[in-house]
Amino acid sequence: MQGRNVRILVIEDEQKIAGALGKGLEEAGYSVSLARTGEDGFFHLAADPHDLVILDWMLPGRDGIEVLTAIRAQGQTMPVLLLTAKDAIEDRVRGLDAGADDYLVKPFAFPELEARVRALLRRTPVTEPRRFSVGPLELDTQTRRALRDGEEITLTLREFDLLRCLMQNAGRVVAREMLARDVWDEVGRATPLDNVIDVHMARLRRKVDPDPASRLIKTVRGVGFMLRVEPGA
Amino acid sequence: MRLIPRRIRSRLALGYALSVAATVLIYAGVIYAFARSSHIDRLDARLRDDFERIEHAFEISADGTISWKEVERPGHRDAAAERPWAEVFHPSDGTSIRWPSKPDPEAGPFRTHERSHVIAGDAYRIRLGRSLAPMQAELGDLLVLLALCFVPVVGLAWFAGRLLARRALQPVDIMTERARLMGAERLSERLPVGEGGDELDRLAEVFNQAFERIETAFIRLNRFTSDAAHELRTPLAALRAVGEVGVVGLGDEGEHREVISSMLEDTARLTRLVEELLELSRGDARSAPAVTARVDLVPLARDVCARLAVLAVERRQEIFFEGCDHAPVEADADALRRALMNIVDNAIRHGPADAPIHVSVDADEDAVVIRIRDEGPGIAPEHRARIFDRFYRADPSRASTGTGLGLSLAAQAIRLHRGRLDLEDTDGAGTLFRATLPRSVPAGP
Repeated sequence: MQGRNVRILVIEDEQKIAGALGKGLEEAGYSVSLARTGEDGFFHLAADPHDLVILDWMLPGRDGIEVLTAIRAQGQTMPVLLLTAKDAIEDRVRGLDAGADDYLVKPFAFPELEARVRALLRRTPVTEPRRFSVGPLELDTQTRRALRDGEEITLTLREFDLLRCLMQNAGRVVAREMLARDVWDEVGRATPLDNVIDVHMARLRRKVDPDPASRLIKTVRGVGFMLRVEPGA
Repeated sequence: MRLIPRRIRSRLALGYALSVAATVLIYAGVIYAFARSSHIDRLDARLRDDFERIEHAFEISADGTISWKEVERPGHRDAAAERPWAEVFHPSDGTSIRWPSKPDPEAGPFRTHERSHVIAGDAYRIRLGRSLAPMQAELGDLLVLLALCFVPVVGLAWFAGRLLARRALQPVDIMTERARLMGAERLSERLPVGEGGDELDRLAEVFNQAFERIETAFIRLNRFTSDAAHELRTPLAALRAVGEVGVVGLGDEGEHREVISSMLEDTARLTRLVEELLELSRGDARSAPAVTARVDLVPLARDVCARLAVLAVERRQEIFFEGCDHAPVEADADALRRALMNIVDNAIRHGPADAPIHVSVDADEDAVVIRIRDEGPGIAPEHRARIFDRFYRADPSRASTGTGLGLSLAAQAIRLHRGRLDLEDTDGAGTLFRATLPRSVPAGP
């Protein structure tokens, strides 16, 4: 999936999380090394340059912030994604001030982590293409027109943004948190927005996938949604 | 040893005794000074009389010597001890004659007066004295009498003070005993309140009100904890059951996927619950919104309605929005948007299907008022008081969609903005939530 071999170091003491991250990222095509403490992490970094570090804040011994400060003090500039259960605004600021490039609060959805890893690795922000096309679907972001098999689909603003988000992440699962943030600009999770997302998604589906035999938008129960063109279709 | 006693009773008694002692001392001092000055006045009057007499009691012979005449001398009728003495000085050589020739050594100190008497152009200096001893003896007796009275009077005051203090403070002792019995297990205990309505009764009443509030808070906390445990346990139980069945099941990949999905759904529910609980406890620890900026609540509320309109349509409801021109406030826009979303979502879920929901924003100089009303039967009186309680559900059977924390979160966010969220009485014309927000709120820690 990746053009070259991208190496990611995961510094995380919680074995289950570290294991799941390693497995998930490897399946996504990255090569992953795991470290359980800050010292272990330094050892890995010294032996081998990495393209990205996923760092847990709460580590035994030196905590993530200290490790991060030390990494930056050594002059290493690879992007660092900080994982933590602390999500007060002050904590976010502290993390970012210490040199983190992004910040993800536990528990997080794995697709969200993957999306952020991709964003961090895309060092230079790419200008968004004007037109997307996935299988029979075409989207023009400037005229805000959507076509399926050349036929125009009339979409509301929200439906259009939803479809764009799904198409940008075609083939990958998009979690509800990501949709809430990207389409509704809502970072807080204590909201009734999940239901809103479901209703909009149901409507979008009726318009995009009128024929159940050739469905493009799939529900991944318990996680979110995915737009995928089946190879056979 | 402490100079000031520890117990109020002893302090009061000591205070009484000291003030009575001071009063008695002042009185005694005044009496003594008065007695003394009237004695001296009498003595001085007698000495003035004595002068009248002494001026005629001596004569000057031709050679200029002074001698006593054989006439009555002053004080000849007085008792020997009280008899005055006199001395006349010769103007030129300073010699003098005395009478009696020697003052009585027993007579003690004297009060003396001096005066000049002119005879044939010569000024003769005359000194007269009277003993102070009789006066001193009398004043001494008075002093003893006063001192004898002082001791019992002060003692009596101390005793009476103790008695009064004990009677006045008796309710405090009873309260102390009763309060000692109170604890987490016996929060329903109350202090006895007397009939009199004095300061201590008021104190007991105020304490009882405080205990009442603590007891209520304690009950609510207990209920909250058990509700929270229950809410957490339900998805946990589902997770466990599905996982346990799934792990031994012999299903194909699709079935396994089904098991995992079901577990993920429960995880999502747990996550949201924990998220909301965290938000609540964070709000409890705050006294003001974390960040504030100028926000116009009219577009904000309109946006909330637009966001949730799809949910209303699902229930064939329509949201009617009505806003004034501008309703700017100093506020945390995200927090207020989430609060409004929760209230409107609540109206959509609990309002009747096929009926409209009205949302309005009005502003005056001090506050912005947002009203959210459905056209349902309203909330039964027994539920009204607890509608903002955490996990409280007026209709437990419809527990599925929400976490039961939405309205508590909304009320808390509005309270942090120094506003109020009230459930208005509409007399059966639906449920009306009214959020009142002051125009400016200082940001806090």
